Amino acid sequence: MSDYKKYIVPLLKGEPIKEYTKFENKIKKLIKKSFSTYFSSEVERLFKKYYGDTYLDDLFQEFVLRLIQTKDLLLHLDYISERYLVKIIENLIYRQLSCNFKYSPKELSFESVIGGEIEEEVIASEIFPSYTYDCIKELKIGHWMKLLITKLKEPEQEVLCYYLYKRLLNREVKTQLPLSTLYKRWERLKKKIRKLIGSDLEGEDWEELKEFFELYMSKVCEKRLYKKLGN
Amino acid sequence: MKRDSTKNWVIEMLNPGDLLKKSYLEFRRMLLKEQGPFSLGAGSEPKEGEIRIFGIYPPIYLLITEQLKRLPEIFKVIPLSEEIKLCYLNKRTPIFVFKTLRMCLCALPLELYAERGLLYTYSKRIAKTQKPSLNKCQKYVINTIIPEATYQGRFIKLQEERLLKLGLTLHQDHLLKEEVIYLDDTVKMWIAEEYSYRLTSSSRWVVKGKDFYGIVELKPEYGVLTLYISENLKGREVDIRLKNIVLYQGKLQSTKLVFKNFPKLSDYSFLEEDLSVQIRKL
Repeated sequence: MSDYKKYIVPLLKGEPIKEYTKFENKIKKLIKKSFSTYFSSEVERLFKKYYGDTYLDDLFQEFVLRLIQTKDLLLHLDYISERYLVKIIENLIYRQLSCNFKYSPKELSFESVIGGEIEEEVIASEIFPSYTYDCIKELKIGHWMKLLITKLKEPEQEVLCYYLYKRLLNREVKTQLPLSTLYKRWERLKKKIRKLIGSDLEGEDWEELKEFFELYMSKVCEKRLYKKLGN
Repeated sequence: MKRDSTKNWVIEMLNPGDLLKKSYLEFRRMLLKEQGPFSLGAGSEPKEGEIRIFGIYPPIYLLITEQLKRLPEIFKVIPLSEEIKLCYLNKRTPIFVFKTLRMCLCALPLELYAERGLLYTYSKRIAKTQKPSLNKCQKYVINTIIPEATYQGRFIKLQEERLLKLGLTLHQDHLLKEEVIYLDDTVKMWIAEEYSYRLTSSSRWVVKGKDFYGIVELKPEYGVLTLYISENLKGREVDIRLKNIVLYQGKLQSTKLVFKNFPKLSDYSFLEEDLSVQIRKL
């Protein structure tokens, strides 16, 4: 991985950068790479829609402004890795997705950023626009799926499936287990799942969990059920 | 080669769980080249409601939620992170979107205690927020369980470890106790002689070594060296040596050690190289 210090330090000090075009092209390539690695093609299309065909130029400009804003830290570094620059780009993309493209890239000029420190006042919002929220939710659901399949033991899968059929489809599946055992195991399992994925099955997160468990039911529980019927 | 990378991309799209893993592993790799802490600028007084960037790479941002009334030297902070998908846990996760700074930060479900001196020296204000946002973040911390097994949970734990190493703590009691040490006259004279040749051109009052960082405050006659030792050494038997000379020996009751009569010198950067904190083998 290459060190970008030789481009970034002169930029932050306001000195001329040798091979500025090379730097610009490299960063634009990283922007393209960030879109394809961390986001779906739909996200890149959104940027084209809001920024127009110059979206790569605009994002590059925002990238440079972002570097200037954190120059106090960047100037201390012995090494600036490509990996970190990609993280900055990813964050720039999330920033626009988070505010629904509210901030136009052309709103602030270089001069207004460099001259004098602007103290910004921000508020904590909880809600992402639904599109951004869905992107992250998909990632989490995929990850939880893998996790529960690997971390839950066979008897625990059985109990979970019993519960899911009952809660989601209002359907009682046959089981050899007495109800009291089932209940005790379910209470234990709820705690285990809560600990593993950090979401409470009976709390505020149910809406999000429901989507996950519907998928779990179709991918895991149904297969189990068919296997059982086959036997 | 090209075909392979396209294939990986397709697998990732179909199995997006791996993207969280990928981001987590990338972050871990970045930590191998962790740098800092650095003092950012001339230092500035921390205040409730500020968002500050901490002088460490990969960066950590801190939201100051409270200055303790009884102990105004101590502040409560909630860490914020740029890694949106690794810390966005649920619909209640607070997000700050910055217009000028061109970033967005997500709150982590952690609240820690930090000393004024640490925040003053190593962090810098970048923005501010109001009480309702502070309350929202504090409520989120209280009501959120850190998932044990997911990559998001592991990322949060990793950030917590980094902050504890820097001297922040999970309990305010840890910050209150400091151990005051007076060096033996012979040790003092040895240090003064050993390091008297140093030039003033690169004088440094803030130093960082393995498992510690230190701040020197100069008084007319002597220097006061405050060492902050990594939180994970608390309670351990340690030797603190300058080259081979022992400055402190014993069970570490507090991670803040204050050497009240350190010799007055023109530069203290030698501490980074020559000072070591070693766990004593019993």
